Amino acid sequence: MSGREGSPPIETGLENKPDRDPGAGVLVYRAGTSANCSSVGSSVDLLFVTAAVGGAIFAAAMAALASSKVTIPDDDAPAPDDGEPKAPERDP
Amino acid sequence: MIRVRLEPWGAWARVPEHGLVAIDLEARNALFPQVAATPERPLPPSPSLVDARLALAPAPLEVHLAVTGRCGTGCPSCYLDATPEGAEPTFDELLRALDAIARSGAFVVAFGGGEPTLRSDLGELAREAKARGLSPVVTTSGLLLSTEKRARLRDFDGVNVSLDGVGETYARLRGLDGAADALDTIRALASGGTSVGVNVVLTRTTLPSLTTTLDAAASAGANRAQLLRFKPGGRVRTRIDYLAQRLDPQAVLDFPDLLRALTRRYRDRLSIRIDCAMVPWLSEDAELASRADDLKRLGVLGCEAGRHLAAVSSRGRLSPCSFLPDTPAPVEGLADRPAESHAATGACATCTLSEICRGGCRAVSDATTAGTGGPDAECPRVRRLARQKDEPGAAR
Repeated sequence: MSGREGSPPIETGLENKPDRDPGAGVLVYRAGTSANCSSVGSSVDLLFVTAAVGGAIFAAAMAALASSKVTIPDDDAPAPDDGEPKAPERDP
Repeated sequence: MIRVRLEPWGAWARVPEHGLVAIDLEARNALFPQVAATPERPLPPSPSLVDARLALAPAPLEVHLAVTGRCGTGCPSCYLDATPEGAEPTFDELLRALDAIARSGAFVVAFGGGEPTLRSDLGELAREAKARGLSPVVTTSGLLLSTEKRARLRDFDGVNVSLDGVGETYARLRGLDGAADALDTIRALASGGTSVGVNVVLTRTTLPSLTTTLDAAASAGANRAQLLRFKPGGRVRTRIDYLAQRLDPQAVLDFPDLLRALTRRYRDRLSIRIDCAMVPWLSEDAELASRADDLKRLGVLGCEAGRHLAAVSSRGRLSPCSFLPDTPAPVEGLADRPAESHAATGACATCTLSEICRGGCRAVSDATTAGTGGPDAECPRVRRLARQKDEPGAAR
């Protein structure tokens, strides 16, 4: 991947299927700022309140993503040349 | 401007006021129809797709960058054994490192050291990171910082101040009573609008006064508490030093209840965070062990060394995390790291959190098992199963 901000900003618009939960598309939500120089930090307080507010938080993140300008860096990695791409081996 | 990293399964994005968010392919296609992809045609080619083919590590989300090896504090438990004479990269070397980190697709660069505030160009480096689309954060002792040095920290998206205790606890750990100074730094930064957290390493010394420490931090304006597992390395020179300070098994078993209590106590004041090495400590909690999907969705990550995490030492060498030894690879090799594998064997094979935990902390395992590669021996579940195995009449 190139670190260049090569693509022009893309205006986003959430066009999800109307029957889909607004936060359903969130696979992982790592809250907050990780300002720790030695280890990966994860917020755990959400774990204990997530049943009540989890859906709302995920939906809010999606809404923020939908209403913001984004940049998708250009990809200058060489395209695979040995046939069809394989299915991803990992999820996040 | 939000930066988005396309992946075959969807995308990663760093969303202000939220954090790092991964979305699935359906959401990605709805949000960004210009680059729509399907499972059958995951175009455009993304680094992760190439990774999957070449068995490379996933692109990092976060890279820890040691901007100096210098520190004059001399804390007995420093995990790096930083000294006033430590190595320090030049400004240009750090710019090249930032270029490589940005090219790798990472979102966050965490400046550490040594003591980063010893650099007079720290603020400029933070601005250079931002210019490359990275979110710079930094960890500091917060000690002896002039107004000018504190001002340099305002260019960061987040600042964490190491605060393992207050008063006598702080003095006992660091050899000087600097807590008031560190709290002053927190106060000054928070009042200026900087997002400030505290790092607290949990040991037998710091645990009893944890709420006193966090009360002081919250009162000074910190908005998050990062709890860190004590790990062997650096100035913790011997196994005995380490064993004398690590939490005892009962404290580890009680850790999930401690998190619940802290969440209640500091609701709306401090976000409670744990480090990757603490995830095994959740495994014997019946509720959390049954909520692996929730942990995963909330990004509670276990060992991410060499996967979504990478570290660059003050000598410009890569390592899977700051606690593991440097490799010969220079920072320019960040995008070509070999994948770190984790085989869930032994006690991990039947653990519901295995996929998240990934066997616990490698730095601890390597030190406590003499590098034999076993699971984290301080995991309470590993301990229990080992005990049961040793009991007379237990199945072998």
